[in-house]
Amino acid sequence: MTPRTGFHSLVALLLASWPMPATAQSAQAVSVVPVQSLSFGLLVPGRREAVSVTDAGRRAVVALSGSGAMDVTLVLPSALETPAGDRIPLQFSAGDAVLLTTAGSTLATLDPLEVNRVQLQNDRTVLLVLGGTAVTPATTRPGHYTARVALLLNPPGT
Amino acid sequence: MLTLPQLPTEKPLAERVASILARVLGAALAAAALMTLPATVARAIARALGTAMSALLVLALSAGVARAVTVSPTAVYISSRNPSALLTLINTGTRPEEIELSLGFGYPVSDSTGQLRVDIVETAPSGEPSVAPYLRVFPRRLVLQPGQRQVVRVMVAMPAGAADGEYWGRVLVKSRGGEPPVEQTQGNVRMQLSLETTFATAVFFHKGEVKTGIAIPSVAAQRAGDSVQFTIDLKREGNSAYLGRVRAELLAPNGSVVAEVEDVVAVYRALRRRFVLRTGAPLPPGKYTVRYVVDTERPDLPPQGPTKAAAVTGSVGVD
Repeated sequence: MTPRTGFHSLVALLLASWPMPATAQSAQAVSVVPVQSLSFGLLVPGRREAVSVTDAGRRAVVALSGSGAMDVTLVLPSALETPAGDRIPLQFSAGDAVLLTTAGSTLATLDPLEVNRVQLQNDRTVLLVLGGTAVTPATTRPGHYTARVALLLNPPGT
Repeated sequence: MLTLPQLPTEKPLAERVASILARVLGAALAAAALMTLPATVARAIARALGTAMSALLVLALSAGVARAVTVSPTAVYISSRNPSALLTLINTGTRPEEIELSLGFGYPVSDSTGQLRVDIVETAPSGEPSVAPYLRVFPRRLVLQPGQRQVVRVMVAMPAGAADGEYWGRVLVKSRGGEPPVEQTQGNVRMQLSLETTFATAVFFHKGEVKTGIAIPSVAAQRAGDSVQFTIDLKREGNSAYLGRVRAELLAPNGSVVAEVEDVVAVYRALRRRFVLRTGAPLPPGKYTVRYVVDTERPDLPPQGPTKAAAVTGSVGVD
């Protein structure tokens, strides 16, 4: 083996073992992955607990990537609920969502209650961050409390 | 006291870095095996490895968060002559994705301020040309492994007596990810807060002759500080949705273009859109005009896609 062939073999070995993402057929393809859910932490009955969009440890984070635009609608729950109907109300308002770069710079402030246009470029990942407020009733009872935050993605103009 | 759970953070990135380290170590071992070569060769290999490691590290750090499911195309066009089409789902992430496909109906509507919303419902209101009851998708549930792609067939079985025209529907691609349920138990209290994503891909079914057009019942332009707010009401004509774009230019008193804006629109029935034309500087006094064009140029949609119509142009003075 000569020095050059050894070098080429190593580079080839490295490149061959590197997983390449599949290529989408459409230039408008956008992909989304939930990264982190909204975590209110310790909730004290009778008190409100707000999670700010700047709270990196507790805010919800969704990664969006691809090319093109996407209209993002957040379908937000009004409460965590048990099958029996017990509720821990949740509140979301304007300013409870922002769009960030992966480096943490703010691209835009979003209104989680409205349709938001997200423009993606060159397959770069942007982060949609969501905060909110939980209002725990003083009479919260044991149970299985569930809620779902859904992102509805609609290609603009369709 | 209750504590809500939290999903693991940035796990894919950590896994990716670990994977890189494993590969680098493997490569280093391979380099060690080659150390029987002369010293100059060993130095060359070391330099190459160092360069490759640096490049891989940069790649890993710039890649950000692992991606999940991609859906393409963004709109599906089906005709009675060729009543099926394909959707491609790709898992570009690093974990298996559970996918569930369902059908719905909905299209963009606007309020008096031009704010858009799309309400997706299972059953269309009566009188709406919904294709949802006649849509079939296969498969309806699947698990996509990392890197795997799956073609989903979308078919329409429209009754023979259906009227000519365009019918609308949505294929909803719901992705939950392969994460375990987000759940935590504290004493007798169990909590679960889930995040899910739904792509709403528009489906258009054409039967017989379809045509579209756009009417503009009213336009208005008003100064708002340093910018101009342009409001346009759009009303669809014909029997097919108007998928097009609106371009508007703000003309200074001397006729020069000082600001412009462009956006896509989907007018299924009627729509109000409001745009803000910003110059980036205070607007000097004078008579300004907004010139606009509405056309059906949509390169982002499949070529066989939107029904074409003649462009409509006009202008309005700024109040």
